[in-house]
Amino acid sequence: MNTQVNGVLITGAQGITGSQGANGAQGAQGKNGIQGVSNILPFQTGKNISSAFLCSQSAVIGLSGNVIYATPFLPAFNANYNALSIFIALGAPSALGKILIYDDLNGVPNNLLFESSNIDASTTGKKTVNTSGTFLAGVTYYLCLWISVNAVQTRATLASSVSSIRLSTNTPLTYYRRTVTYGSAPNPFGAVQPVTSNPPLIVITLN
Amino acid sequence: MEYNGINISSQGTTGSQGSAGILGAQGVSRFSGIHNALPNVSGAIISYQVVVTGFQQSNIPANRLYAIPFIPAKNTAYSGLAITVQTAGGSGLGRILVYSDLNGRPNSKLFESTDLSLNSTGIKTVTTSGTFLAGVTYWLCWYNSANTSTLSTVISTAPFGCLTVDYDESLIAQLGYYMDVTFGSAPNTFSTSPILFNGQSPNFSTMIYITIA
Repeated sequence: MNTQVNGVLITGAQGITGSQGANGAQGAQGKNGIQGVSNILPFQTGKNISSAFLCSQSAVIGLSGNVIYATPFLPAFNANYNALSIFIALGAPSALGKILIYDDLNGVPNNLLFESSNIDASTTGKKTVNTSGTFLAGVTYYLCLWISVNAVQTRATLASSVSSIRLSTNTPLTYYRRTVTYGSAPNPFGAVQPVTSNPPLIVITLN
Repeated sequence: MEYNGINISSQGTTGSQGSAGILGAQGVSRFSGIHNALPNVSGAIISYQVVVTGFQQSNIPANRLYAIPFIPAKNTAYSGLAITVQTAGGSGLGRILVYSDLNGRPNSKLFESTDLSLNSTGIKTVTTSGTFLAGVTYWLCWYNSANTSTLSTVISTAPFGCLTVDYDESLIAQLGYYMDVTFGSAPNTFSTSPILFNGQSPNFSTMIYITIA
């Protein structure tokens, strides 16, 4: 192209700017693997899972009324579920219970994700709440049980069969609890008290 | 052309192409299994136990094929499979088997050993080789022709150290599956309606050992 500048004719074109270098090759995808410690075997319809990843002896614990027991649950696979269950080993007159689910914030229960209707905890047996959803692989949830009165006993997971939250000196902490009057579940969870004993068992039925 | 008396006529040089971008980093590998998490050591013996819990011994019911899951964290080449007879009795025979997984249950038969004699104590080894692949679920299986010998099993104190595969109606943790089958005729496909079993005493979880090649 011819250009005149101050009466001077410039005919040489400007050099072409070098093109941008090619993008680097994409890194290889990391190997897929287990993203959690519960539900390590692939899911199947009707299978029952829990926070425990090791098979254990059956345990029964006594529950305190007006206390929320929150056990972490970290699935290895996405888990579609259609029911949550507890097993009352000993009921108490007029006892009610609820199953709650909280999400996680920095290792403690935070926002309320699910609150069941009242469960009759005055009689023994398996108590099921029909509700559906998906627990996402690698995401931490807290499965919680809340009973209205003292003296109810429920089936529990042995502390040695769940993934510990952390240690208290030499003792693994297995779940959190919070004392709160039975009624509507708090949101957020509130101040936690870590516990070292067997956590109550909440079973998730997959669909 | 002229510029201040200087002839300018040629086109500037084409710029050189920029250098290639840096190769993207490989994604982070995740833990791909739960068993054999430590590095492979030739000759080391592993099993489907996740944690150390010791062992006990049990008489295993005859003609019942028991299956317990095994999910190696790394590729595991092996040179032998074994069980241990604690107390010999009678002329029973047993076999070690491996089944693949389908949706959390034993499925296709991958291996069945020759007969192992149970009429003397000690480790009974099947010399066979292969590789258990990282992150793949296998089912280690055992059945015997008579229940007259006691075999090493996972300990029935807590925890059993094995994965929970399910819960029964009473919400008791379950150790694995079994199906009834006459000794010597293990099917190529495991029962599609296997029965859950737990480790409550007496437990029938024959300890199957894997020798790393």
